[in-house]
Order: sequence, then structure tokens, then C-alpha cells
Amino acid sequence: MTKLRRLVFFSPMGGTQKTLHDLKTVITLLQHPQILSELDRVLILHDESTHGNAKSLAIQVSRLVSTNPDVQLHSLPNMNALMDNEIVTPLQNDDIILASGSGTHLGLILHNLKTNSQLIGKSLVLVHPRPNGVSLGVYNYKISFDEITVEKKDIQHPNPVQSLRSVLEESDAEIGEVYPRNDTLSQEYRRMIELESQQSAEDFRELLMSHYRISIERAGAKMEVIAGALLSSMYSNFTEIYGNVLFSKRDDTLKFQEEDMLAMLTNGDIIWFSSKYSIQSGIINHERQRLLAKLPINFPDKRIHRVILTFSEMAERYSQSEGGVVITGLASLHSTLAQFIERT
Amino acid sequence: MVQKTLIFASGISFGNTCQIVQTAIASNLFSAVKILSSPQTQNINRHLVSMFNAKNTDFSLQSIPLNDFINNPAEFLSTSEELNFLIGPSTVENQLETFAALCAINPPRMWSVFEKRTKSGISTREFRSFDVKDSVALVEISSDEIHRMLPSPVSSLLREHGIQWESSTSRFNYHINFDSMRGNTPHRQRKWEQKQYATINQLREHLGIHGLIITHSPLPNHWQKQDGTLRRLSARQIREVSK
Repeated sequence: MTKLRRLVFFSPMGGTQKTLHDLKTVITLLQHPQILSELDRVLILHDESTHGNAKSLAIQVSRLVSTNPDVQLHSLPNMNALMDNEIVTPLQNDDIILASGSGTHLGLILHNLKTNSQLIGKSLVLVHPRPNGVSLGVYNYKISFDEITVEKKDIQHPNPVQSLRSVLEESDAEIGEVYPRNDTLSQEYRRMIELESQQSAEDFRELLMSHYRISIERAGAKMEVIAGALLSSMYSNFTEIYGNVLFSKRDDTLKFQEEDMLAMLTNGDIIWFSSKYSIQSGIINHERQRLLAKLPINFPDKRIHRVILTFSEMAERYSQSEGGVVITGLASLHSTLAQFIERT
Repeated sequence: MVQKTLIFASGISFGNTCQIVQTAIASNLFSAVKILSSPQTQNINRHLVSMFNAKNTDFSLQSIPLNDFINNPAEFLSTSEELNFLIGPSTVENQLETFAALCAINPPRMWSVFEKRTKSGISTREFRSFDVKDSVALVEISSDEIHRMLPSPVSSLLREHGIQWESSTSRFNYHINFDSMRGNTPHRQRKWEQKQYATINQLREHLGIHGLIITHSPLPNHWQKQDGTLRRLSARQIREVSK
């Protein structure tokens, strides 16, 4: 018989997209043979500062579940007062709890497992989506009078891919270009990539300028177009590819940061591409340093891969992944992507 | 008498680990502390334990490899001990694994480093038990003391980069002063920015992201690249202060 469960989570302080994605994961997880259950209720724990997010998530989570669950909100003291008095969280038998919120919130849940007498004889599940996006830690707590038995399962992530658009929109980023799926790369571009890999950067740039009758300034832009076409032809590795992504920052006198391309791989990781078609090593070095910084998005940094696209001759001067930034020519892009996808 | 043991999985921030240990000893609430160390923190925690044990002979302080502890907690704890688990440092996964391992011996009493924040910053930092029966102000560690505790290569690295210890927040502070580049060419400014990046990354490896505060002086008018990468890309991680 399918077990009826209640989903419990803390409303987040910042954006809601990460929590929403985690909720989708937990909902998908309910179909797992070892957990098999149906969601009939949802409890959102929040404080004054997260009440707005809780209300928004209440609407969104109802839409995710076809069983029309009863969604309740439960108010907690704010962070400054969270440990002024002992708090009994309204946990119940068979609750499935998402490990969200702050460390203190997690501590509060674990404290309640030990001290809440209402939970004696009950069992609860806590789901922790690991930051690597590959797997989940699922902890089953069985509570008796004087002990807690913990059974842990590692389950492959059933829903690793978050929507890149939603991640970017949450950061108020503007998407300049959406790269479409294109199963084939034109013969002309294929030939250009081949020639580029065989020639010096300077010779190839001359060839590009004479073939397309463009200035030296436009040569880099043309290479970006070819790179975009190549990525579109590799779409089977991606779920989304966006170009000219503009981040604007509030509360700062310097407002903008524009990135050439951001793409979501099928394994849920992001690739941060920068095109640098220059023959000056200083520019590549500078870009490599720049890419060591964090993207202004709410996404685990360990799952963001940095790639500089440049002339093959320039790429060969650098080791495969110097300082965590991969520098590659277009001809080697396929093998570069494979190394990101094959990670476990 | 029942031995009261405090257990926590340590994060990379050395100052934080040091402060937790000092507070636990000074509080007289615990008779032992067990630090669970990941492969990244094992060496520095071993060093910390040897430094403490040299001067606190009546207090039991141990650094235990986290994986060994999770696989066999009974090797390190007895059922007669009162277990106190401090949540907060280290990753969520390490904390959940530690809690599960402790439950195999005895469900622990839960603690947290509790911070009260005001608009101007943190006003209170305390060790507090979730049953609210105990609360201890975190011990402030002086700059001299933290440098005595640090392994000498790390201490030298901090001195080399002029890193200050902020005892009120228990974090190290690296201050970037743009004025030092006054009169230099844009090329030199860019080189200098790159060097700053490399330094920040190196320091974070040793001190942890949470253990290091990075500040910079206001961007001066003479700065050639007003949208310089250091400031533009790190606004979320680096705050501007006048020093």
C-alpha cells in the first residue's frame, strides 16, 4: 500500500529557485521503490523574514503535486530569537523532511528527534540533496524511548538538472541570445574549425578576415559565431545554452557583468564559456584569472566549469586545466565536454 | 562522574576550530573534546591538538579522522559518556553522518554556535544548547595567541600578506589597498589585480571561505579600469571599507 506522507521544509532566506528544485527532487524521489509514497500534505517552516518566500513556495509546490496536497505554513521565531527558548517543531510520523535552511535549523530538527516525546515510536525521513548534484543522502530515523536508529541510503539523484533559465532569472540576469538545437554543423564551419586547428593563430585570423572580408576587430566576433554554431551542434550534451548573459548589480556603483555563454550540461552542471580570440597571452592570462571569481548566481560553485575558447595554437600553450580553468580550441571542444560529463 | 564530551566535525576555518576548542575548555561544561577531521583539516587539527595538549594536561582533546569515526564510532566513544554534538562547522553531509554515528552510541545533546545579528553586524556569539539549559560566550582569541597556534608555514604566509586577525569575529582579514598602485600604468594595475586574485585563492585554501574576510579601500579616481575585474566580479565576496 502506498504510504501517505507530509513534506516538511524551511522557507529560504534568498531566492526560491534552489529550494523549488530540491522540492521537485523530493517529489520525484517519492516514486523510488524504497520510498514509494504519496504526498498529501506540505508543511513550510518560516520566520518573519522568510514569510514572503513561504507564501510563494506554497503556491508553487501545490502546482508540482497532482494530489492537491494540503499546504500549511508554520511560523518560527526569527534567527536572532531561534535559540532563546526551546522549540518543539510540529513533526509527525512519516514526515519527509528536506535538509534546507541554515545549520541552526538543521540542528533544531535533529534536537527534536531526540527530545520531542510526540515522536517516540515514529519514523521520519530526511533528504539531503548533495551539492555535487549527483546523489542524495536519505536518512531514515526510527525513534524509540532511549535510542534513535538511523538507516542511510545513497540514492542516485532522480532530478539532477535544474533549469538554467530559472537560475539566471533569479539573479536578475538578462539573456541576450538563446542558442537553438542544431543537429548539424555546416560544412563551411566544419572546414574552418579544421583549418584553425592546423594553422597558427595569426595565419588563421588572416584567412578568416580575407574569407569573410572582415576587419581584425570582427574576426573575434566571427569566431564566437562559429563557436556558438559548434555548441548548438553538440546540443545532445546540453539542456540549455545562452549567450551574452548580462548580470546587473544593485547596491554597487559598477553595474554590469556580461558573459559570452553559459550552458547547462545534461548532468546538471554549468559551463561558463568565455571567448578570447586574441593572440596576446596577457589577455588569456587575465581572462583566466577573471574566471576564477564566482558567477553571481545561486548555484554550487563546484558544479560550474570554466572554459576559455581561443585559437588552438594559444590553447596548446597552456596545460589542460590550469588553475581550474580549461583553455581550449574549438577542435578539442568535444573531448573537453566529455571530461565534464563523465564526472561521477 | 559522567564524562561530558563535545564532538564536532571541523571546517577549514582554523580560527573557528580554535575558538570552539578554547571555549569548550574554558566553559568547564565538558571534560573532553573530539574534533572530527576531514582529509583537508587533519594535519592542521593534529597540530592544534598537540599545541593545546602541551599546556592543558587535565583536559582530553583529540582529533579523529571523520571517516574512521563514522565507520566505527564505538572505537572512540563509550555508552557511559554524555555526548554533546555541536552543529554548524563542516558540510551538511558531514554533520548528518556524524549525528547518525553518534546515535549508534547515544542520541547526542545538540548545540550550536549562536549568533545574534544587528544591522551593524554580529552582536553576540555564543555556544548554546538547543534545550536552552546552557549558554557560553565564545572566548575571544588574541592575535598573538592565534599566531602561536598556527603551524609556522601558515603563520609565515599570513605575515607575508599582512593578514590581520579580528578577534571579535574570529576571522582573518585581508585588506586590499588600491592606493598602493597610485601612479602605475593600466598594465601594471592589471598585473597587480591578477596577483591579488591568486593571493585570495591561496589564502582561502588555508583559512577557508568563512574564515577569511576580504576588504578593500575605496576605488581611487586614478584607478584606470573603473570596472576592474577585482572589484566588478568580487563585489559579493569583498566589501569596501576605509582603513
